[in-house]
Amino acid sequence: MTQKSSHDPNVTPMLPKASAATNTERESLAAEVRKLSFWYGETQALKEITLPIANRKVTALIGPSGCGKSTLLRSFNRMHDLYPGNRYGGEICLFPENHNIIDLDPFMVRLRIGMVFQKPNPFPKSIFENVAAGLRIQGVQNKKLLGDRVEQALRNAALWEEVKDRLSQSAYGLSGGQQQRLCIARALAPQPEILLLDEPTSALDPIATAKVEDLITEIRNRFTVIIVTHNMQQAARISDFTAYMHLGKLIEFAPTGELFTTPQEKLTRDYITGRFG
Amino acid sequence: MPTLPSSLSPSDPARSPLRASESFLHRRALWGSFAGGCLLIAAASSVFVTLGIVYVLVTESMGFFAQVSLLDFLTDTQWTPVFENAHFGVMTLVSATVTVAGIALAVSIPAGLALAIYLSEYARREVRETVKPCLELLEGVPTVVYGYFTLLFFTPLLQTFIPGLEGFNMLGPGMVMGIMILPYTASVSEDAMRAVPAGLREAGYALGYSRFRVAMRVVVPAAFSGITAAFILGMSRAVGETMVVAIAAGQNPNFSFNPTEGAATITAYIVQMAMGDLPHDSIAYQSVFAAGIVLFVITLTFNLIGFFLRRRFKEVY
Repeated sequence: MTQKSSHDPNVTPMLPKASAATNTERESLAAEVRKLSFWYGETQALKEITLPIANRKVTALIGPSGCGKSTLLRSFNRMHDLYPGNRYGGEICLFPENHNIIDLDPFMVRLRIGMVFQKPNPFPKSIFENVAAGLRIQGVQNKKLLGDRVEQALRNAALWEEVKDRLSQSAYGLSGGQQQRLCIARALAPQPEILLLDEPTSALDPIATAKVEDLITEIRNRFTVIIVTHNMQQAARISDFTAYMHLGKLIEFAPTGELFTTPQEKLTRDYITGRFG
Repeated sequence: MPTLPSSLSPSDPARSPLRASESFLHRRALWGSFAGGCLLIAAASSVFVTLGIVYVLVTESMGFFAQVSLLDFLTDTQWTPVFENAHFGVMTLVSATVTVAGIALAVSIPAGLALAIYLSEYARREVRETVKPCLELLEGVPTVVYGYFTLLFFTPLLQTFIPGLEGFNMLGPGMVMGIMILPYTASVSEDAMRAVPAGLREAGYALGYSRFRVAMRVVVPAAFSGITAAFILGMSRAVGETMVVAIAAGQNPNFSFNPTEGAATITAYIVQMAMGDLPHDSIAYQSVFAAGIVLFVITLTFNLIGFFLRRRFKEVY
């Protein structure tokens, strides 16, 4: 532990000033973004973002297209590392260790942080194997345990009743909405510390969207969720905190109710009243 | 009932200032049916050519099967059509065909898959764009060059490792053929792998998969139908390949699955007969068509297997 002391927020005085969180507040944080910048080649997509992520709460990232909200989300599990020419600056601290995600091995980061994408992307395997995929890589081999965890994840994703009789069938036989909930179950099965949702309902019809929103509400007290959404009503319905971004900058961050009722910044106000976006 | 503003009414001539004349419409319809007819003929010709080939193969080999029983044809283990005491055991030729094609696939499947996975999942763009054209260049090498390369260079090289290897053998041509069909197997499977959507790969990485695991557990299964198609293509090519085996595997019909021995394949036999001057209605002449039918059935079987495999594993992204 002594070797880690330089990372311990209680002893190091070198915390960036931008971080306003006190020690007690930090205990309730799952992560904190500190002066994070990001470049796609020469183009700067994120400009010194600082943002706390509350533990076991839903944090929504909203903003017009191209504002960098998906870029920020994909920094959390280092998805940008898959493509050449990308560069990060600053930190995303993952608590409780206070390790900087940008310095960790991306494969280790992804074992702790799950992700659901815009388009449902189940693997060309059975429903069961899709959900078990993340568990297998974490070393779960016991058949009984695997079965239990798969069932639990499917129940969490509100999909169990619909698929329990056809677990061995191909995931491609499911509807789009079911596939997306399957992807959520796949991401939930390894019990990630943070779940990233990248516009998870943008490819779904209203009924499937409502089901996914219900399930996010259902898991909000057990998982830390960060959701990118184009839909402001969705952010208002399901999130505890909302961050408004514009042109790569974080404009405003507040508890969701406050941000939507009493926005402090003109840009935020214009966006949520539909003046642009 | 609400009425449309007059400016939007469909009968308003001002709305269609470029209204086509009757004769133009007539000419266009005529031209359309003419073009459609030409394209139909082009499409149908491939069917007619195939049917014609089957017709010739069947009629010519009818005379053959009038003299040789199907049982002898399939069970005899000697193939000596021009001898006094002629034997027509086609399995003699099939054994060599299967052995050589099997060796070719044994080389081509692992090499082709490894190459395709490397190019699709690991290689940087510049590397891929250099290696792939080179690979496809292999396709342009005349097969007779591969044949002499095998006979004069590759077989002697193999003989230094394998002392019992005959000058004409099935191992050398099989291995060289495995490399020869790489443009089909590697290049087509690489195309199939690259067609797998990036979202599917990202789903794997997001779960903490390594690059290799993404390749083996996500990309290869998702591209399975394309990869199967690639290897079926390669297999058909290996079974039908003539020059390499005719030159380097010998022309001596020999019922054997031993790769160190030489043996004539079906194609090698056909080309050998084609070079001699056989009387038109002799049984040896007709045996060429009987052997051709067997070849046809083998490749057809592979194509059907490929067809069903592809249907079964058809990917729906």
